[in-house]
Amino acid sequence: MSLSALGRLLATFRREDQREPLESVGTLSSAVGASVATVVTDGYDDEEDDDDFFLTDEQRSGRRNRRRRASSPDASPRIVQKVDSQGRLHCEDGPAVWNEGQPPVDNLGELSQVFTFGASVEVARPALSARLARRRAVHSWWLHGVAVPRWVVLEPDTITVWVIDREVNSEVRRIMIDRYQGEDPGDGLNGVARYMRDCGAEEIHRDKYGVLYRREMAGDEPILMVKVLNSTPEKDGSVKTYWLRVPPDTRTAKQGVASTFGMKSSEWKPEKET
Amino acid sequence: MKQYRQGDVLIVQCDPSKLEGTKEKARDNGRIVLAYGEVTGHAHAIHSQKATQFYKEGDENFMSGGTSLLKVDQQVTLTHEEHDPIDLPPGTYEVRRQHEYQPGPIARRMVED
Repeated sequence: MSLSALGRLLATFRREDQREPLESVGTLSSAVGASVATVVTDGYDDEEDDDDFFLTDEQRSGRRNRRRRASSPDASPRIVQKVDSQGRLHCEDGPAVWNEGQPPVDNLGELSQVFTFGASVEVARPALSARLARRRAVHSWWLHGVAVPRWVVLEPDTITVWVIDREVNSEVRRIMIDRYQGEDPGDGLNGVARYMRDCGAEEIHRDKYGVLYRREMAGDEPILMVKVLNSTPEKDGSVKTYWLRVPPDTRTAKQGVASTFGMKSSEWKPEKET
Repeated sequence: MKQYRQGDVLIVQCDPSKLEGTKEKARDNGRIVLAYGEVTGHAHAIHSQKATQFYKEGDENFMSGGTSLLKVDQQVTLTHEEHDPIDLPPGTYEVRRQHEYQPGPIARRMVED
Protein backbone atom coordinates (compact mmCIF):
# COMPACT_ATOMS: atom_id res chain seq x y z
CA MET A 1 0.00 0.00 0.00
CA SER A 2 1.41 3.35 -0.95
CA LEU A 3 1.85 6.28 1.39
CA SER A 4 -0.42 8.38 -0.78
CA ALA A 5 -3.17 5.80 -0.47
CA LEU A 6 -2.67 5.75 3.26
CA GLY A 7 -2.91 9.50 3.31
CA ARG A 8 -6.21 9.41 1.47
CA LEU A 9 -7.53 6.88 3.93
CA LEU A 10 -6.46 8.87 6.93
CA ALA A 11 -8.07 11.91 5.42
CA THR A 12 -11.40 10.09 5.39
CA PHE A 13 -11.18 9.29 9.08
CA ARG A 14 -13.14 11.46 11.42
CA ARG A 15 -13.15 11.12 15.16
CA GLU A 16 -15.77 8.77 16.56
CA ASP A 17 -16.59 11.06 19.42
CA GLN A 18 -17.86 13.59 16.88
CA ARG A 19 -20.53 11.04 16.07
CA GLU A 20 -19.65 11.10 12.43
CA PRO A 21 -19.24 7.90 10.51
CA LEU A 22 -16.07 6.34 9.20
CA GLU A 23 -15.76 5.80 5.53
CA SER A 24 -15.49 2.09 4.95
CA VAL A 25 -12.84 1.18 2.43
CA GLY A 26 -14.27 -2.08 1.25
CA THR A 27 -17.34 -4.12 1.83
CA LEU A 28 -18.55 -7.58 1.13
CA SER A 29 -21.23 -8.18 -1.43
CA SER A 30 -24.93 -7.80 -0.93
CA ALA A 31 -27.79 -9.46 0.91
CA VAL A 32 -28.55 -10.33 4.48
CA GLY A 33 -30.05 -12.16 7.36
CA ALA A 34 -29.71 -12.41 11.07
CA SER A 35 -26.43 -13.21 12.72
CA VAL A 36 -26.33 -16.96 12.42
CA ALA A 37 -22.77 -18.16 12.73
CA THR A 38 -19.63 -17.61 14.72
CA VAL A 39 -16.27 -18.48 13.19
CA VAL A 40 -13.21 -18.91 15.36
CA THR A 41 -9.74 -18.88 13.79
CA ASP A 42 -6.18 -18.19 14.87
CA GLY A 43 -6.20 -15.01 12.85
CA TYR A 44 -3.25 -16.04 10.67
CA ASP A 45 -3.38 -16.34 6.95
CA ASP A 46 -1.01 -16.39 4.05
CA GLU A 47 -1.80 -12.93 2.82
CA GLU A 48 0.86 -10.33 2.99
CA ASP A 49 0.63 -7.83 5.84
CA ASP A 50 0.16 -4.95 3.46
CA ASP A 51 -0.69 -2.66 6.32
CA ASP A 52 2.93 -2.86 7.52
CA PHE A 53 4.01 -0.66 4.70
CA PHE A 54 6.97 0.67 6.62
CA LEU A 55 8.73 -2.73 6.69
CA THR A 56 11.01 -4.12 4.03
CA ASP A 57 10.13 -7.41 2.37
CA GLU A 58 12.76 -9.18 4.47
CA GLN A 59 11.43 -7.71 7.67
CA ARG A 60 7.89 -8.71 6.77
CA SER A 61 8.91 -12.24 5.94
CA GLY A 62 10.90 -12.61 9.14
CA ARG A 63 8.07 -11.32 11.22
CA ARG A 64 5.60 -13.73 9.66
CA ASN A 65 7.94 -16.67 10.29
CA ARG A 66 8.44 -15.69 13.91
CA ARG A 67 4.69 -15.46 14.37
CA ARG A 68 4.11 -18.89 12.91
CA ARG A 69 6.81 -20.47 15.07
CA ALA A 70 5.24 -18.96 18.14
CA SER A 71 1.74 -20.00 17.25
CA SER A 72 1.41 -23.29 19.09
CA PRO A 73 -2.21 -24.42 19.52
CA ASP A 74 -2.21 -23.16 23.09
CA ALA A 75 -0.68 -19.83 22.24
CA SER A 76 -2.79 -19.04 19.18
CA PRO A 77 -5.18 -16.16 19.57
CA ARG A 78 -8.83 -16.96 19.11
CA ILE A 79 -10.26 -14.58 16.57
CA VAL A 80 -14.03 -14.64 16.69
CA GLN A 81 -15.98 -13.54 13.65
CA LYS A 82 -19.76 -13.36 13.58
CA VAL A 83 -21.43 -13.59 10.22
CA ASP A 84 -24.93 -13.42 8.80
CA SER A 85 -26.71 -16.04 6.72
CA GLN A 86 -24.79 -14.85 3.67
CA GLY A 87 -21.43 -15.34 5.39
CA ARG A 88 -20.79 -11.63 5.78
CA LEU A 89 -19.40 -10.08 8.94
CA HIS A 90 -22.41 -9.10 10.99
CA CYS A 91 -23.42 -8.60 14.61
CA GLU A 92 -26.28 -6.42 15.85
CA ASP A 93 -25.36 -6.29 19.53
CA GLY A 94 -21.58 -6.26 19.64
CA PRO A 95 -18.40 -6.43 17.57
CA ALA A 96 -18.40 -8.84 14.66
CA VAL A 97 -14.65 -9.49 14.97
CA TRP A 98 -12.64 -9.67 18.14
CA ASN A 99 -9.81 -11.48 19.90
CA GLU A 100 -11.06 -13.64 22.73
CA GLY A 101 -7.63 -13.75 24.31
CA GLN A 102 -7.34 -10.00 24.72
CA PRO A 103 -9.27 -7.60 26.90
CA PRO A 104 -11.76 -5.64 24.85
CA VAL A 105 -10.76 -2.27 23.50
CA ASP A 106 -14.03 -0.50 23.22
CA ASN A 107 -13.28 2.97 24.41
CA LEU A 108 -12.96 5.65 21.84
CA GLY A 109 -9.53 6.82 22.94
CA GLU A 110 -7.95 3.45 22.24
CA LEU A 111 -9.73 3.19 18.95
CA SER A 112 -8.58 6.62 17.88
CA GLN A 113 -5.04 5.70 18.84
CA VAL A 114 -5.18 2.69 16.60
CA PHE A 115 -6.35 4.84 13.76
CA THR A 116 -3.37 7.10 14.18
CA PHE A 117 -1.28 4.11 13.10
CA GLY A 118 -3.13 3.96 9.85
CA ALA A 119 -5.18 0.97 10.86
CA SER A 120 -8.41 2.29 9.44
CA VAL A 121 -7.69 0.13 6.43
CA GLU A 122 -7.95 -2.96 8.57
CA VAL A 123 -11.10 -1.99 10.35
CA ALA A 124 -12.76 -1.56 7.01
CA ARG A 125 -11.56 -4.74 5.31
CA PRO A 126 -12.68 -8.23 6.34
CA ALA A 127 -9.41 -9.99 5.53
CA LEU A 128 -7.37 -7.54 7.54
CA SER A 129 -9.83 -7.12 10.36
CA ALA A 130 -8.97 -10.46 11.94
CA ARG A 131 -5.26 -9.65 11.83
CA LEU A 132 -5.91 -6.37 13.54
CA ALA A 133 -7.91 -8.13 16.24
CA ARG A 134 -5.07 -10.63 16.71
CA ARG A 135 -2.36 -8.08 17.21
CA ARG A 136 -4.07 -5.12 18.80
CA ALA A 137 -7.16 -6.59 20.44
CA VAL A 138 -9.36 -4.16 18.60
CA HIS A 139 -12.98 -5.04 18.04
CA SER A 140 -14.48 -4.17 14.71
CA TRP A 141 -18.10 -3.53 13.98
CA TRP A 142 -19.94 -4.82 10.98
CA LEU A 143 -23.51 -5.06 9.81
CA HIS A 144 -24.29 -7.20 6.78
CA GLY A 145 -20.72 -6.97 5.53
CA VAL A 146 -20.48 -3.21 5.92
CA ALA A 147 -17.94 -1.74 8.34
CA VAL A 148 -19.72 0.74 10.58
CA PRO A 149 -18.85 2.85 13.61
CA ARG A 150 -19.41 1.18 16.97
CA TRP A 151 -22.26 3.46 17.95
CA VAL A 152 -24.29 2.48 14.89
CA VAL A 153 -24.34 -1.06 16.28
CA LEU A 154 -24.69 -0.39 19.99
CA GLU A 155 -26.52 2.92 20.12
CA PRO A 156 -28.94 3.05 17.20
CA ASP A 157 -31.06 5.50 19.19
CA THR A 158 -28.34 8.10 18.59
CA ILE A 159 -28.77 7.91 14.80
CA THR A 160 -30.54 11.06 13.68
CA VAL A 161 -31.82 12.40 10.38
CA TRP A 162 -29.05 15.00 10.55
CA VAL A 163 -26.35 12.33 10.88
CA ILE A 164 -27.85 10.17 8.13
CA ASP A 165 -28.05 13.05 5.71
CA ARG A 166 -24.38 13.88 6.26
CA GLU A 167 -23.02 10.35 5.93
CA VAL A 168 -20.97 10.25 2.74
CA ASN A 169 -20.77 6.48 2.35
CA SER A 170 -24.00 5.26 0.79
CA GLU A 171 -23.74 1.73 2.21
CA VAL A 172 -23.16 2.99 5.74
CA ARG A 173 -26.02 5.43 5.23
CA ARG A 174 -28.36 2.61 4.21
CA ILE A 175 -27.42 0.68 7.32
CA MET A 176 -28.04 3.78 9.43
CA ILE A 177 -31.47 4.30 7.88
CA ASP A 178 -32.32 0.66 8.47
CA ARG A 179 -31.45 1.06 12.17
CA TYR A 180 -32.95 4.52 12.61
CA GLN A 181 -35.31 4.74 15.55
CA GLY A 182 -36.14 8.41 15.99
CA GLU A 183 -38.79 9.37 18.49
CA ASP A 184 -41.39 6.72 19.02
CA PRO A 185 -44.97 8.00 19.02
CA GLY A 186 -46.24 4.43 19.12
CA ASP A 187 -47.01 4.25 15.43
CA GLY A 188 -45.28 0.90 14.99
CA LEU A 189 -42.90 2.30 12.39
CA ASN A 190 -39.17 1.69 12.34
CA GLY A 191 -36.15 2.00 10.13
CA VAL A 192 -36.67 3.55 6.74
CA ALA A 193 -40.40 4.17 7.28
CA ARG A 194 -39.71 6.22 10.39
CA TYR A 195 -36.88 8.03 8.62
CA MET A 196 -39.24 9.00 5.79
CA ARG A 197 -41.78 10.23 8.31
CA ASP A 198 -39.18 12.34 10.13
CA CYS A 199 -37.05 13.68 7.29
CA GLY A 200 -39.75 15.68 5.54
CA ALA A 201 -39.99 13.50 2.46
CA GLU A 202 -41.80 15.06 -0.48
CA GLU A 203 -45.22 13.77 -1.49
CA ILE A 204 -45.08 13.16 -5.24
CA HIS A 205 -48.30 11.26 -5.94
CA ARG A 206 -51.55 10.29 -4.30
CA ASP A 207 -54.37 8.00 -5.42
CA LYS A 208 -56.85 5.59 -3.85
CA TYR A 209 -54.06 3.06 -3.37
CA GLY A 210 -51.87 5.25 -1.16
CA VAL A 211 -49.50 8.21 -1.02
CA LEU A 212 -46.10 8.09 -2.68
CA TYR A 213 -43.20 9.92 -1.01
CA ARG A 214 -39.73 10.65 -2.31
CA ARG A 215 -36.51 11.61 -0.55
CA GLU A 216 -33.44 12.60 -2.53
CA MET A 217 -30.18 11.11 -1.24
CA ALA A 218 -26.86 12.71 -2.15
CA GLY A 219 -24.69 10.31 -4.13
CA ASP A 220 -27.26 7.55 -4.04
CA GLU A 221 -30.60 6.65 -5.55
CA PRO A 222 -33.62 8.39 -4.00
CA ILE A 223 -35.76 6.63 -1.42
CA LEU A 224 -39.37 6.16 -2.49
CA MET A 225 -42.03 4.80 -0.18
CA VAL A 226 -45.74 4.42 -0.51
CA LYS A 227 -47.89 4.93 2.55
CA VAL A 228 -50.92 2.66 2.53
CA LEU A 229 -53.83 1.99 4.83
CA ASN A 230 -54.74 -1.46 6.03
CA SER A 231 -57.93 -2.59 4.29
CA THR A 232 -59.32 -4.10 7.49
CA PRO A 233 -59.89 -1.65 10.39
CA GLU A 234 -58.70 -2.57 13.88
CA LYS A 235 -61.21 -3.66 16.52
CA ASP A 236 -61.26 -0.13 17.94
CA GLY A 237 -62.12 1.29 14.52
CA SER A 238 -58.67 2.76 13.83
CA VAL A 239 -56.83 1.92 10.62
CA LYS A 240 -53.21 0.85 10.59
CA THR A 241 -50.78 2.68 8.31
CA TYR A 242 -47.98 0.86 6.49
CA TRP A 243 -44.97 2.21 4.63
CA LEU A 244 -43.62 0.13 1.79
CA ARG A 245 -40.33 0.86 0.08
CA VAL A 246 -40.66 0.76 -3.70
CA PRO A 247 -38.21 1.05 -6.64
CA PRO A 248 -36.73 4.53 -7.24
CA ASP A 249 -38.37 4.86 -10.68
CA THR A 250 -41.90 4.49 -9.28
CA ARG A 251 -44.24 7.27 -10.43
CA THR A 252 -47.59 6.49 -8.83
CA ALA A 253 -48.79 5.01 -5.57
CA LYS A 254 -50.63 2.28 -7.48
CA GLN A 255 -47.47 1.36 -9.37
CA GLY A 256 -45.62 1.19 -6.06
CA VAL A 257 -48.15 -1.12 -4.41
CA ALA A 258 -48.28 -3.36 -7.49
CA SER A 259 -44.49 -3.63 -7.51
CA THR A 260 -44.48 -5.12 -4.02
CA PHE A 261 -46.24 -8.15 -5.51
CA GLY A 262 -44.08 -8.22 -8.63
CA MET A 263 -46.82 -6.74 -10.84
CA LYS A 264 -47.13 -3.82 -13.22
CA SER A 265 -49.50 -0.99 -12.48
CA SER A 266 -51.76 -2.05 -15.38
CA GLU A 267 -52.00 -5.59 -13.95
CA TRP A 268 -53.01 -4.51 -10.46
CA LYS A 269 -56.76 -5.18 -10.17
CA PRO A 270 -57.59 -6.91 -6.89
CA GLU A 271 -61.24 -7.94 -6.80
CA LYS A 272 -61.25 -7.89 -3.04
CA GLU A 273 -58.77 -6.59 -0.45
CA THR A 274 -58.93 -7.13 3.28
CA MET B 1 -57.54 -13.11 -14.13
CA LYS B 2 -59.10 -12.43 -10.75
CA GLN B 3 -56.97 -11.23 -7.87
CA TYR B 4 -57.64 -11.37 -4.15
CA ARG B 5 -55.47 -9.71 -1.57
CA GLN B 6 -55.38 -10.42 2.13
CA GLY B 7 -52.72 -8.27 3.78
CA ASP B 8 -49.30 -9.35 2.54
CA VAL B 9 -50.66 -12.22 0.43
CA LEU B 10 -51.95 -11.88 -3.13
CA ILE B 11 -53.88 -14.71 -4.76
CA VAL B 12 -53.96 -14.49 -8.55
CA GLN B 13 -56.07 -16.79 -10.71
CA CYS B 14 -53.91 -18.63 -13.22
CA ASP B 15 -53.97 -21.33 -15.86
CA PRO B 16 -54.30 -24.90 -14.44
CA SER B 17 -51.32 -25.95 -16.55
CA LYS B 18 -49.13 -24.20 -13.98
CA LEU B 19 -49.75 -27.16 -11.67
CA GLU B 20 -47.69 -29.44 -13.91
CA GLY B 21 -44.46 -30.54 -12.29
CA THR B 22 -45.50 -29.30 -8.84
CA LYS B 23 -45.59 -31.13 -5.53
CA GLU B 24 -48.44 -31.20 -3.08
CA LYS B 25 -47.77 -29.42 0.19
CA ALA B 26 -48.74 -31.33 3.32
CA ARG B 27 -51.32 -29.65 5.54
CA ASP B 28 -50.33 -27.97 8.77
CA ASN B 29 -52.54 -29.25 11.58
CA GLY B 30 -55.27 -29.98 9.08
CA ARG B 31 -55.24 -26.60 7.41
CA ILE B 32 -53.52 -25.03 4.41
CA VAL B 33 -51.25 -22.17 5.47
CA LEU B 34 -50.39 -19.76 2.68
CA ALA B 35 -48.16 -17.59 4.89
CA TYR B 36 -47.19 -17.19 8.50
CA GLY B 37 -46.52 -14.00 10.39
CA GLU B 38 -43.06 -14.62 11.84
CA VAL B 39 -43.57 -12.46 14.90
CA THR B 40 -47.26 -12.79 15.61
CA GLY B 41 -47.74 -16.43 14.63
CA HIS B 42 -50.82 -15.37 12.70
CA ALA B 43 -51.53 -17.24 9.49
CA HIS B 44 -53.33 -16.84 6.19
CA ALA B 45 -55.09 -20.20 6.30
CA ILE B 46 -57.76 -22.34 4.62
CA HIS B 47 -59.45 -24.91 6.87
CA SER B 48 -61.67 -26.54 4.22
CA GLN B 49 -60.66 -29.87 2.66
CA LYS B 50 -61.82 -28.63 -0.75
CA ALA B 51 -58.49 -27.04 -1.62
CA THR B 52 -54.91 -28.25 -2.11
CA GLN B 53 -51.63 -26.34 -1.99
CA PHE B 54 -48.73 -27.07 -4.33
CA TYR B 55 -45.20 -25.81 -4.72
CA LYS B 56 -42.76 -25.87 -7.56
CA GLU B 57 -40.20 -28.65 -7.63
CA GLY B 58 -36.99 -27.52 -5.97
CA ASP B 59 -38.70 -24.65 -4.20
CA GLU B 60 -39.16 -26.29 -0.81
CA ASN B 61 -38.45 -23.01 0.96
CA PHE B 62 -41.30 -21.17 -0.74
CA MET B 63 -42.85 -20.40 2.66
CA SER B 64 -39.94 -18.01 3.23
CA GLY B 65 -41.26 -15.63 0.63
CA GLY B 66 -41.58 -17.68 -2.53
CA THR B 67 -44.59 -18.50 -4.67
CA SER B 68 -46.97 -21.43 -4.26
CA LEU B 69 -50.05 -22.64 -6.12
CA LEU B 70 -53.54 -23.33 -4.87
CA LYS B 71 -56.19 -25.58 -6.42
CA VAL B 72 -59.70 -24.87 -5.17
CA ASP B 73 -62.33 -27.52 -5.98
CA GLN B 74 -65.26 -25.85 -4.22
CA GLN B 75 -65.54 -22.39 -2.72
CA VAL B 76 -63.33 -22.06 0.35
CA THR B 77 -62.65 -19.26 2.80
CA LEU B 78 -59.26 -17.72 3.44
CA THR B 79 -58.93 -16.53 7.03
CA HIS B 80 -56.47 -14.47 9.06
CA GLU B 81 -56.55 -13.21 12.63
CA GLU B 82 -56.23 -9.53 11.60
CA HIS B 83 -58.00 -9.43 8.24
CA ASP B 84 -61.54 -10.01 7.09
CA PRO B 85 -62.07 -13.41 5.42
CA ILE B 86 -62.08 -13.81 1.65
CA ASP B 87 -64.13 -16.40 -0.24
CA LEU B 88 -62.22 -18.02 -3.07
CA PRO B 89 -64.28 -19.54 -5.91
CA PRO B 90 -63.14 -22.79 -7.57
CA GLY B 91 -60.09 -22.42 -9.75
CA THR B 92 -56.32 -22.51 -9.83
CA TYR B 93 -54.38 -19.72 -8.16
CA GLU B 94 -50.87 -18.46 -7.72
CA VAL B 95 -50.05 -17.28 -4.20
CA ARG B 96 -47.61 -14.39 -4.02
CA ARG B 97 -45.94 -12.77 -1.02
CA GLN B 98 -45.39 -9.05 -0.67
CA HIS B 99 -41.81 -7.76 -0.78
CA GLU B 100 -40.40 -4.29 -0.35
CA TYR B 101 -37.71 -2.97 -2.59
CA GLN B 102 -34.31 -2.96 -0.90
CA PRO B 103 -31.08 -1.65 -2.40
CA GLY B 104 -27.53 -2.51 -1.44
CA PRO B 105 -26.48 -4.78 1.38
CA ILE B 106 -29.81 -5.09 3.09
CA ALA B 107 -31.87 -8.01 1.85
CA ARG B 108 -35.15 -7.64 0.02
CA ARG B 109 -37.57 -7.42 2.87
CA MET B 110 -40.63 -9.61 3.00
CA VAL B 111 -43.71 -7.88 4.36
CA GLU B 112 -45.35 -9.78 7.20
CA ASP B 113 -48.49 -9.06 9.09
